[in-house]
Formats: sequence, structure tokens, C-alpha cells
Amino acid sequence: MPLIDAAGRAFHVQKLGSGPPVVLIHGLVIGNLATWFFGVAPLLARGRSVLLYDQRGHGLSAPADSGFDLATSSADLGDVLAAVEGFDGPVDVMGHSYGGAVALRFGLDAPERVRRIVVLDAPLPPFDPAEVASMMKEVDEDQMRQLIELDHRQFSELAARLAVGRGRRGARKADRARHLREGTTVTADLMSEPAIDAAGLARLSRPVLCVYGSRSPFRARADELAATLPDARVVQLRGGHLLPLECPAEVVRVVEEFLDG
Amino acid sequence: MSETLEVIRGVIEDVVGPEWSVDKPITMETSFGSDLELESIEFVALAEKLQARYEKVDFVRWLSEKELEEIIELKVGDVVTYIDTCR
Repeated sequence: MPLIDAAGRAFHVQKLGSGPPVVLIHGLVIGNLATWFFGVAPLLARGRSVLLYDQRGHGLSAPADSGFDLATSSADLGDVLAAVEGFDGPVDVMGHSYGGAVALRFGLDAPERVRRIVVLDAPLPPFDPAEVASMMKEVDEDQMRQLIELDHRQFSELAARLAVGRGRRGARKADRARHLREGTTVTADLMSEPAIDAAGLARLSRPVLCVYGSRSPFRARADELAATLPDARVVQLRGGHLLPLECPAEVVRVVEEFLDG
Repeated sequence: MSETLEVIRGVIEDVVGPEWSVDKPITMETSFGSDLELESIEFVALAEKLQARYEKVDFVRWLSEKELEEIIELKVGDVVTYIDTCR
């Protein structure tokens, strides 16, 4: 059942493993559930039931022209969770990049459905133009290789090979990214996203782990979150913005420590 | 000609799409990464379609448990062999 109907919209989902439920939310434009599928997800699934889904307009979920704002993304997450067996009660929620902002927003919108939150290198609204560009930026093969050589000799060659590429693969990815950027409201939605509800965050009673890359453009957000949230832990990993691809094993190590602790 | 190979060819064409048709014939030696240039989400789609076609094959799990380096080198023939062993 990779395609499910969630409140009338088709979402592509995958479930791996068994155990306490955790849902993973990918970032925008270059993200989809494959962000997790070849690294973070199977590692986490050794001890948990892991739900992956493609956000609207991404991966194999139904195309969408609009609805790339946090309120809609958070509602989509609620609809997906309600439609998947074993995920309708309180779950752990982890998101990367924009998906991390969705995780926090969902914690504010539906705290009764959330146990703990993991924020992986997420920006916080209002997003400035540079942040929007960083969230949607495609990474070329050379940049990806530099990341590997700088930091992660164990970096998955596959992540590099599959996340970027020239030729047919590069062209297909570029086509999809172009469609999202030019054929949908994604940029406008991000630019008009209102500031996150800081008072709400200050009252959020759920534990939050904030994992940021040492060279990420978003790394300063970790301290903002730590200063605002009542129960936040911050971990910095050596790397850039694409932590789930750059160092999946390191990400899983700190996430398991947090979720098992 | 293996029947499984025929099925996999059909699935690959379905996943990659006609506008990106593969210019070389798909054989047991064709590699998913370097020859077909499958993207990661297309790997997932391929796994799901094979799983739907062969109920006994837990292809999604098989793929997700592989070492990343193995997946890069994965050839059509590896998948044919795996499916034929499961049946």
C-alpha cells in the first residue's frame, strides 16, 4: 500500500520495522522519502516502526500547485498519521530542513498527537530569501563530493550518486525541481510564512532534540530554539545542511540516544 | 530468456518513463546506478512495483537492508536472481 488516501489526497508512504512509532518528514524540492530510505530509515527501523511519506507535490505523492505553508503541511501530516495503522496515537516526529519546521508546527497544532520532536537542521519562519534559497538549492556532484572528502569518509557514496547526478538522472531531478519552483506556489508560500508562534514554543511541553550541521547556514537556529523551548537539547554534528544524506549513522546515533533516554 | 528479466524490464520502463527511455537494451549486466541512472525515489518505486508483482518477495526490505555500496553496484541480474530464489 505505498499510496494511501489521506483526507482525499494521495500520499506515498513506506513503513519499515516494528516498535515505537516515529514519522520522518523530508525537506522541500530536492527532498522526498528517499532522503531517509537508504540511510536513516533502515537504521532507525532496527528498533522502531518508521513511517516515511512524500509531502504533497513531492516524490510519488499527488502533484500539488499550492499548500507549501506550515499550516497546510502540518495538517497533511495529521491526515497521513490518521490514515496509517499504528500512527493515530502519540508518535515521535522527526523532520529535516523545512520538514523540521513542520514537526515543530505539528507539535504546536496537535501536542496530544506528539511524544517527542527531532529537528534536523531546520530554518524557522519567517524565512529570509537566503534561507529559502538554501532550502531549495540543488547540490551538484562536485559539491557533494567535497562534503564527503571534508567530513565523512564513510559518507554514503550512494547518497552522493543518487542525490545528484549528470545526464538523465540530473535532467529528471532538475525538471522536477524546476516545476516545483516555477509551477507552484512554493517560493511565495515560504516567503509569506508568518513568524513561528514563539509563545507557543515556550509552552511546548514535549522534549525536542535539535541537531544542526557545524557548517549549515541554519546552525544559529539551534541556539534560538534552545533559548525558546522549555525542554530542548542541542547537538551539533560535523557537516552541512544535508545531514541525513551526509552522515545517516551519526544522525541515528544521536536520535536513538534521545528517544531511548 | 528469463521471464523475470522480462518483468523487470517492463517495471524499469514504467518507473523511468517513456520520455527518458533507455538507449541501450536492458540485460542481466545492466547496472541500476551507472547505466540506468535511477534516482533514489525511482529505486523506491521500482522496489514497490516488484513487491506488488511478486507477493513473496520482500524487495523493499531487501533493498533497505543492503549496504549502500552494494546498491550502487546493483545489476538487473542481481534482482532477477533474488526474485527467482524467493519463488
